[in-house]
This record gives sequence, C-alpha cells and structure tokens, in this order.
Amino acid sequence: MLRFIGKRLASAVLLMLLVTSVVYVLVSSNGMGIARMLAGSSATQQQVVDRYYQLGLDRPVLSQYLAWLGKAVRGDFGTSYLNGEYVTNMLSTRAPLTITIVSVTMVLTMVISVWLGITAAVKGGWLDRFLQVLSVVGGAIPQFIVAIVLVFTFAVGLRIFPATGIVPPSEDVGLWAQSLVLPVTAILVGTAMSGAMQIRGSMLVELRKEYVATLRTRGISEFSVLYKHALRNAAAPGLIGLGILTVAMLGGTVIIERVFALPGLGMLVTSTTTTGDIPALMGCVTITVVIVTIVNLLIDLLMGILNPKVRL
Amino acid sequence: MNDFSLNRRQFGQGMFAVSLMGIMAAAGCSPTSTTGAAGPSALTGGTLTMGIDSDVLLNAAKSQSAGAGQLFSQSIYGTLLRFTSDGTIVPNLAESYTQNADKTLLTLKLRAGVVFSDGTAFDAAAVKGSIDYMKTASGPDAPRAAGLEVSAKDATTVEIATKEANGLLPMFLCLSVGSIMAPAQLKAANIDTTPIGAGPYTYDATSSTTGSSYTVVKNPKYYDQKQYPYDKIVFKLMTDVTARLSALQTGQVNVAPLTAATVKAAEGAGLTIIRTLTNWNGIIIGDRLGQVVPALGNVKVRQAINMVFDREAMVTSILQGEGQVSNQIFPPDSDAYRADMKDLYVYDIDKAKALMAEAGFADGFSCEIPLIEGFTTNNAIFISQLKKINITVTEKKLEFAQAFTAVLGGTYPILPIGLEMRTALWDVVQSVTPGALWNVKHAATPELSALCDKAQKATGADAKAVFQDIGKYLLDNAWFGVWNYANSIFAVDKKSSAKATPGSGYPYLDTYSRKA
Repeated sequence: MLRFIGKRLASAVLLMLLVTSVVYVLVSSNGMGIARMLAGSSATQQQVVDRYYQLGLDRPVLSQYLAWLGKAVRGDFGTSYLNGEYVTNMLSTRAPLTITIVSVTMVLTMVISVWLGITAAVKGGWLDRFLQVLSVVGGAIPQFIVAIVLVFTFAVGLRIFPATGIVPPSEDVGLWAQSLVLPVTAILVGTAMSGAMQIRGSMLVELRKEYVATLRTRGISEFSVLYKHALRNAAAPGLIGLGILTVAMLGGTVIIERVFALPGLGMLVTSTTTTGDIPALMGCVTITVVIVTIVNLLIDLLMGILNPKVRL
Repeated sequence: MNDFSLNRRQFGQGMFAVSLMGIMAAAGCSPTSTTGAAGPSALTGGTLTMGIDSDVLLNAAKSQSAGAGQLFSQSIYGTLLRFTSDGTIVPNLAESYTQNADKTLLTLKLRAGVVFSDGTAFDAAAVKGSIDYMKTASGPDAPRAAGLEVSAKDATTVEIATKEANGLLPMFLCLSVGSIMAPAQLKAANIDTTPIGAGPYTYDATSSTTGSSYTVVKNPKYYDQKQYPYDKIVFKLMTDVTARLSALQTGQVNVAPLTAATVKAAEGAGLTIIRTLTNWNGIIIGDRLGQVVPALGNVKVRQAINMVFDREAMVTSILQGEGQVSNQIFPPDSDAYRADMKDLYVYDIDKAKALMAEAGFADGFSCEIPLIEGFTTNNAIFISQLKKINITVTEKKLEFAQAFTAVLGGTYPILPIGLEMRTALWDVVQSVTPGALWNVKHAATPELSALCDKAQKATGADAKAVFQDIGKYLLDNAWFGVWNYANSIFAVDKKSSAKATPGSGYPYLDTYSRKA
C-alpha cells in the first residue's frame, strides 16, 4: 500500500509541475498587456514600460517560472501585484470556504447518489424512470439558474436562508450552516443526480451477475447483498465519476461564489485572471491542483481498499 | 462602471471609541443622537452596509477615481477638495484654494489642526510626499499627478505648479490625487496594506477580508464629524447584480448599484432608485483624419455613420429605457452641450446613403473593431447598422490583457464604447485634446486645438462660449457617433437615503443618511 501511495504522490508532483508551468507560460506570455492592465487605462506608455520592468516581466518566462517555483516550494507565493497582500494570506482566507463547499457537496453527493442509485436499480419501474428524468433535468439546468431560483424562493421569498455571504463558524455555527445550505444545494442538484445515475448503471450490471443470485440462494440478507457485495463491486465506476465531479465542482464554485457573493477561491481565480495578477493566480492554480490531487489520491486509496487489484 | 484602492492616532482614546462603537453595533443599537440642521441627516450612528460591484484597494495612490474604489478611498483618506452634491468644488481637508489666471499654479491653505489617524500632523510636507509618491505608484491617477510640481511653502501652505495650463487640477484634488497618505504609510514595509489617512473613517483590518468585505469605522479625530452620520461602513464585494439585488431585498445590504435589468424588481421591493447620467454610449471615430481608413477622413462619411442608428429604439431595447437619447459626449447640463444641435443626425438611412454617395463611397468600405469580452457590448448592432450603408465591419477578438494597449494605441479606426462624463473640461481633456487618452490617433486641427487651449484657462461666460464652440465643432465634424446617455442605477433601502452625485454612479459618502 505504501508503494501504491508513493507512486500516486510522485505522479501528483509531476502533474503539479506540468500544470503550473503551462499556466505560468500562458499567463506570462503577454507581459506588456499585464503591465498595462496594472498601470491602468490612463497610464502613459512610459509608465506601462516602467511597470513591466519593475515586475520583472521582461525576463524569459522560464526564468520567471523557475524563480516562482523556487519560492513556491518554500511556501512563498509572493505578494499580489494588485493589493500587495501575501498570496498565502489570500489563499488561507479563501480556500477553506471553497474546500468546505466542495467537501460537503461531495459527501452529500456520495450519500444521495448511493441511496438513489441503488433504489432506482432495485425498485425499477416509475421510480427509476422518474429518477432518470430528474437526472437529465438536474444535469441540463445550469447551476446559476438553480442558484437564482433557490435564492428567490428560500431567501427573498420565504426568508429561511441568507441570500448572500457566509457567517464564519467561529462566530455562529448555526448561521454558518444556514449560509451553506443554498450554495451547496445549487451544486448538489446536478452532481447528486449525475452520481445516482452512475451508481444505478453499475448496480444494474452487478445485480445481473451470477454471484448475486448465488448469494441470494444462500440466504444472505438483501441488505448485505446490496450494500456489502454488489455495491462494493459497483463502487469503482462511481468513485471515478465522483473524482470527475469534484473537479467539475471546483469549476462550478466560480459561478456559485459569484451568485452568493462568497469570498472563496472561485472569486479569487476570476479576479486574478482578469487583472493579470500572476502571483495570486499561480497561488490559486497551485492550491486547486493540490485539492484535485488529494481528492484523486483519496479515491485511488478507496479503490485500492475495495479492489486490491488496483494497487498492482 | 464599464470596466475594472486603499489608517491611526492617540491609541487609547481611539481604541476606546472604536470598541464602544463595535459593542453598540453588535447590540443592534438604534440611533444614538440626532444632529441639528447643520448635519446632512437627522439620525446618526449605526452601520451602513454597501454592496459594491468592484473590488477596492487600500493604497489611495492605486485606487480608482470612480465607483466603489473612489468611495472607499475617500472614507479612509478624505480629499483635499471635494465635490458637493450639485457638482461644485469646495475645500475639504484644505481650508481654501486659489488658482492663478493662467491655471499653472494652485495654492492650497491646509486646515489647521487636522491629523492623520496615527496622530501625526496633516501638513504641507505630508501632502507633497503623498502626491510625489503617487507619481511613481503606477495607479490609474498617476498620469494626473505626473506633471505636478508640489512644494511646501510652510506647514499649511502648498503650491502645486504645472508647466502647462491645467484647469482640471481642482478636480484632480477631489479624486485620488487629493487623497493624502500619511508619511508613516509611505515608509511602511507594505504600503499597500497599511492605510493611514485623515479621512472620516479608519480601516478596521480585523473585521475585513480583502476581496470580500471591507469595514471602516468612524475616525473620532476627523475635522467635521457631522458630515458623516454612520459609525461604521461595511463595503461588501458583490460582483453579481443578482446577488446585490437579493441582498438588498433581504436587508443584507442597505445600498448597492444595480442595472437596468434589475430596476423593476428593486422598485417592486420598495427600494428607492437613484439615477445618474454618468456615461455616454456610442462610437469614437478615432481615425477621423483618415490615416488608416481614408474614407473616415471624409466628414460626410462620418456624418452618414451618425445617421444609421435609431437612437430611440436603442434606448428602449438595449438600455431598457434607462437612459436618454443623445448625439453628444457632454451631458445636458454641461457648458459644452449644444441643445440647439440635439436633433442633428436623426435616424435616416436614405440620407446616410446619399451622403456616402456624395463622398464617393457608395460601395462602402471595410474596417475592423475590437471584441473585448465584458467590455464591448454593442458590437452586434454597430455591425448590422453600418452594413446598411455598405460598410463591412469585422471583429477582432482581444484578450482583456491585450485590449488596452491595442485600443489606446489607435489600432482600431472606430471603437464602440461607453465613456464617463463629468465636467465640460474633463470630457474635453479625456476625449478631444490632441493628447487625450481617448483621442486614440491623436487627431488635431488648428481650430480645435486653439479652442482646447482656451478652454483650459477660460472662466465664467468665456468658458461657456469656448465649450459651446467645441461642442459645435465636434458635432459638425462628427468626431464621435454618440447614441445615448446611460443611467447609472443605485438602489437605497427604506432605512437609508442618499443623494445623486453628478458624474458618479455611487452617491458620495457625505450624502448618505439614516432614516431608521
């Protein structure tokens, strides 16, 4: 198992180097444009050029990247071009919210997907067809539409949940949980339906296999057949799907954070991209890759536990 | 608001006051006192929560001179001079000012006894230090500070000299140039995160999260406490207009800018809407001398282009009624506005075609315009209307980072755009003079250049006459193709009130007051 984890970590490091280098090259390729954006539309060409040299954007991109990487591995992501704030500070105030939203959504997606997926596969009939329709609808409606409908129904109309913002858990845990309900639900509508269909499909395949019939003829309880044996075998594709959904969720938070005015990574990515704030953007990219890597590692570990052949 | 800023004193006393305010705010205290007729409001105390549509910076020298950035900067730093709600310029942290007839020397007399929030003196040396810093800070207002020679004549007298006439200097001192950063901030290890000003509020870092929410609390040492009724102001970043609307409807924010699409819902929810004409929409015919596209050098072609737009329909459909038809870059109350020429270039395709034929361009010509996501919003209608007089317009997609350099460098002969309007001189300096930012090809004619030179120094009736001549010149020669003025829309809840500030989509802070 340690060798398995080691291999996964090594590939994660390679992935991180690849992603950060590609992103750095892409964002740094227009140094003068970035200097112009930072200097402002009314700046003279000389002021733009001064800013360009001041930020070291005149150096070869590889040299800039290696300098950034050298500091980044020591935990120094520099300061924002725009507001002078330490990037590590910016990330530490924003990442927890995004991670919370994604984690809560992921856990709920797992629970709801397994429950709905198994129910649809086992019961069949109208329930199965209804869930299939729901999954199509859930996947077809854009997240921001779901978010707006939720806000106008449960915040503006019924006044049950706050329309925007987040209350820190250190201030009030109850209000914190309340302020998470709508953003999480807005993402969950799509992910849970998609996950349920994934589990449903895998379960249908497993339930048709001979070992299931054998287990039933041996008098094993239906609960055990479904949740201990069939689900274990059906979990692999579901877990892969969950990994993909998690990456999609990170992308989806950009829209959700905007609609709910949440100070998370998604908002930071948007602002840093449009302002050419390279240090802050690279910090966002790095932490996003770390999150994706950890999620994939956890899923790989779970797969390894469920199916030892994966570890080979 | 079409496109894309940043304090201490006798510590014990200040902290006590701040703590008291915090406790009272937390306890949800109702108004603490009432002011007399001198104050702008009947109720004082409490918190104003403002939804803002763009992020702000803590460094005044890097702050925007418009929108939320300007308001936030003013709250911490104040300004040497300030605009009143009717647009006139009055002394603020400076007690008085005078400018010579040539508009090359402005003398400020600073208000005695004013101190920065760290307790140090707000003196002439500090003013000089701050403006000199601004020249090198690469902020949006650095070009406005660039030509200023500041000298501290004595502790309270500042002279600002310019080589050329600068009639806009008093206005600059109402904006970022006039927001003075304390010497301690200029020496701080991180100047961008250590705001120290002499404004009505001080930055509360512990209650703020950059990029999300910024809290300022009343500066007990500010020279005019009555001007600002609130104990605390929270600026909440909400880039999405739906979020701002729902936050207003549910009482999470008191005031926020909205858009034409959200006005009806806001009015339906009982919010008060403040409308201000802040921008004109239309086109800049940058290649007006025909250097790149020779046809554009012909005045009849430019006039024809002005006639292909159904301005009434554009206000109704594009602005959803939130605007006014216009053909001028100056607002109706501007000295340069030509009421007698407002019906020039009415929608008339046949006449436009005839003008194209007279100019020898009946078969039209081709040109390219930039497509910048989130910036160029009227390209489609522009392209379809010009097609009617055989002008083929193609779009060149630009990344935001490349856009400014390409657009301001004069790459594009015509530019569909929305630009802010302030005073006549401001608009002329921004868009008309040979060196103007938005005169992208730096076009000049002797007649217009002479008028622009006069405009810098003229006052009173003379100024009015000069600006009227400039307005007429621009219309006769069709340098622009203005379609309309767009309303900036700002919503205020039932507990608050505010007054429109000319030229600003956000009412200025001294106009806000509590109703409940």
